[in-house]
Amino acid sequence: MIANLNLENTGLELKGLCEKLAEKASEGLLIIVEPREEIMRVLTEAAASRMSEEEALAKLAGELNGLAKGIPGDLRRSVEAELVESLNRIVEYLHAEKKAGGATPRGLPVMLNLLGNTVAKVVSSHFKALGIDAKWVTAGQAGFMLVEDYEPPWSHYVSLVNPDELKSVSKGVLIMSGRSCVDHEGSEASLKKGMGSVVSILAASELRIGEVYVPKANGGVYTADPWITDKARIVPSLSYSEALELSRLGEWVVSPQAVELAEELGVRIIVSSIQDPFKECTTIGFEKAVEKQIVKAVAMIPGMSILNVEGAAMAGTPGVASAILGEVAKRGVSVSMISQDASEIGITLLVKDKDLDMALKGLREGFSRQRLIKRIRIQKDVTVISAVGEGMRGTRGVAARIFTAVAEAGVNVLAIAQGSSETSISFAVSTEDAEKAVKAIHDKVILGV
Amino acid sequence: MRILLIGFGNVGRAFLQLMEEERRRFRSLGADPRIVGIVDRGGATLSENGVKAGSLLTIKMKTGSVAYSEQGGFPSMDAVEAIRVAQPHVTVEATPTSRGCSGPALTHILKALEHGSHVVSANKAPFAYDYDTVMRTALSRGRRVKYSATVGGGLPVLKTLRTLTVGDFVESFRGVLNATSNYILTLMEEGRSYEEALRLAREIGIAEADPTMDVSGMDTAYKITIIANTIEGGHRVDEVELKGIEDVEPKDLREAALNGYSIRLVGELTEEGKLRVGPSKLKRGSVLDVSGTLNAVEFRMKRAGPVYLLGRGAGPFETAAAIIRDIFEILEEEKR
Repeated sequence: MIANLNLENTGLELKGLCEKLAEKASEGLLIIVEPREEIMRVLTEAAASRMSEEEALAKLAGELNGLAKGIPGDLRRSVEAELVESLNRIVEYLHAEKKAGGATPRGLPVMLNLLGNTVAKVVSSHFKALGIDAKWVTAGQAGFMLVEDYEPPWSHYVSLVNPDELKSVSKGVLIMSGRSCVDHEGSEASLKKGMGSVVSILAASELRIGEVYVPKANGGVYTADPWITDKARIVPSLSYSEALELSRLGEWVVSPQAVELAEELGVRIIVSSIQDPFKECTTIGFEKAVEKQIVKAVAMIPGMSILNVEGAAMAGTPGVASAILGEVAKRGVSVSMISQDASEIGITLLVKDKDLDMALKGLREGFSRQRLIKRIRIQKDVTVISAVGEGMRGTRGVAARIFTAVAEAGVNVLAIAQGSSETSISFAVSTEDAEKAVKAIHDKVILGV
Repeated sequence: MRILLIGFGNVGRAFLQLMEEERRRFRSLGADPRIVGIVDRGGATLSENGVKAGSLLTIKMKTGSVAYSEQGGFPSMDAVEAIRVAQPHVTVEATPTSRGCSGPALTHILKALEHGSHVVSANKAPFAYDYDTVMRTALSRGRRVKYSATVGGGLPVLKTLRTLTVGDFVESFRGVLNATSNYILTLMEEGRSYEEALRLAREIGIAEADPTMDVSGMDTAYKITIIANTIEGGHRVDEVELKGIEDVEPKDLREAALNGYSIRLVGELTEEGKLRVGPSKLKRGSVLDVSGTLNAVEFRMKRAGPVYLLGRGAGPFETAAAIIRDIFEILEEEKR
């Protein structure tokens, strides 16, 4: 069996979760572990001297000690000694990086992998505490390799280049440090957030295991954020395309690449709860297996800004949209949503708040000598809301129901976009209205109250 | 503009990536750069319409050579043959620098010139062993040879030198030109042994798996020979009086520090015309007393006096950027 243990999903209480996972140890268990992104970021910030070594060390020590909680007696002492050694090495690397004038291309992956490996060691110690001989390896040692494109858009993905290696190490209980990889030269490379879930899917496919279990603290994927509406309930099944939409939004379970790959390789993703990690809460699989509800879930992405790019000369000029998006992309800004009037005199882009200045700079500099753009209007504190459901495809009146519910809640819609797949409808509202809109769609469209 | 890239290691790959980003800037000069071929140890790949960078990298990673590309891959083709077939406008030589002689890079450069191609090189050896041969061939063929990437990478040492020597004369120069050895010495100042400092430098990717070229002073020797050749020609790296940093001990650095000095690996051309590389004491706080991976160069000009350059040493992207600057220069010079 394969479990993807992303600490982002599970939280930091590992003892109980490992006890539950251990119940299946006799069947053979491969557990792919990913540290929390926040703690990886601490290291990145410290390496770039944006955080003091002391502060970073305190945060790392707090996280690692929290993960080791519950390991008993002598084993606990040896784990603590390993944690101290790892932290000392991290301090040494941070110092070496500082002397080199900042984060070095190889130094940062070495540190991130050291952290990821330490987390994997702690997980294996929890199993050892239960009398199970759990070994640990890195994804690189198990035959995985980071592959990066050397042309735009510089994609980053992972490939299983040595399947025999994976097969030879996958015996008994194996803990894999899911983001600790190697590059094509065999040098250490750290995989980005969520890529451990891609490793899980590739491993499942190679080992001919039909599903990957993803334990989650609150168990399953919800129809809406339970903090926003207490009527939210677990969605029993999602198609791959629905899961893909949701993974791009706030409902993070596995990475979008993992969902896409799971569909391609025919691997089911079973989202479970940390109390019962092998019991299905939400199953992500082929469309025919899923229930026929029109809208399955509603999710939101806060912290966005709207950029309205306007100019009469834009109308009928071929390539305007491409030029605008190109200037924004050149600044490394990802556009979350695009909407354009049929009159073609305006185009609306949604970008993250933190990227707004960069996007504006790109547009102002890129079009400084042209009269194509007359005005750029911005609106901050915007939230994107998406209603997701495979059943929306070809069903008449869904958009009307959604926007009627939103209007009745007194929420003003700032921009709307729908992809040609018709699996989701996204729209932007002011952040102060976002929860009202989510609640309205959830209660009136999903639950049909 | 047809470009042939010889060598597909870190520098070659960084070059490919930067070329994608700089395409628009080239077009503003009326040039449409196309990398029509790449040669590595396993063979070559050629494409009249320009190679596809992303897919080639995947092929290189999976098979070890671009030559196994399904489109235009030639496993038995060497660089000389690729130059003959591709007929490039510019040949970029980015193979690893040889030790002890110019190595195959010299053949690549001479063949490219013979076939009417300009040459941009990141390989130091031909300019440290056979500078005069390369330059004479270029002159006789009416082609240009640029090699800014061989010294300083991102730091425009050679370009500055060419500017300085118009109407003035270099009496001597000194420089801290090797980031790896400078980094190791910086770590040793804190009491670490040479071995320990080297291990850390390797682990964070500052030192190569085999750091001999750097710590023996050979890399600096190549660089000062190239600078000296740019000034007056006629030098070979064999004439450099050479000593590396392997024998420097933490106590030497401590003792120097107590007297207000640091120890750095300095390469120099003396007023007497001698080339020398070795650990030297530098006054603390002086311009050449740089730490970490910084490089520093001091030119002593007859009229302008001392001129300094300071900046980060070369990595693959800095070196690739220098190659691109050289290609730009060729384009601009051709337009004149």
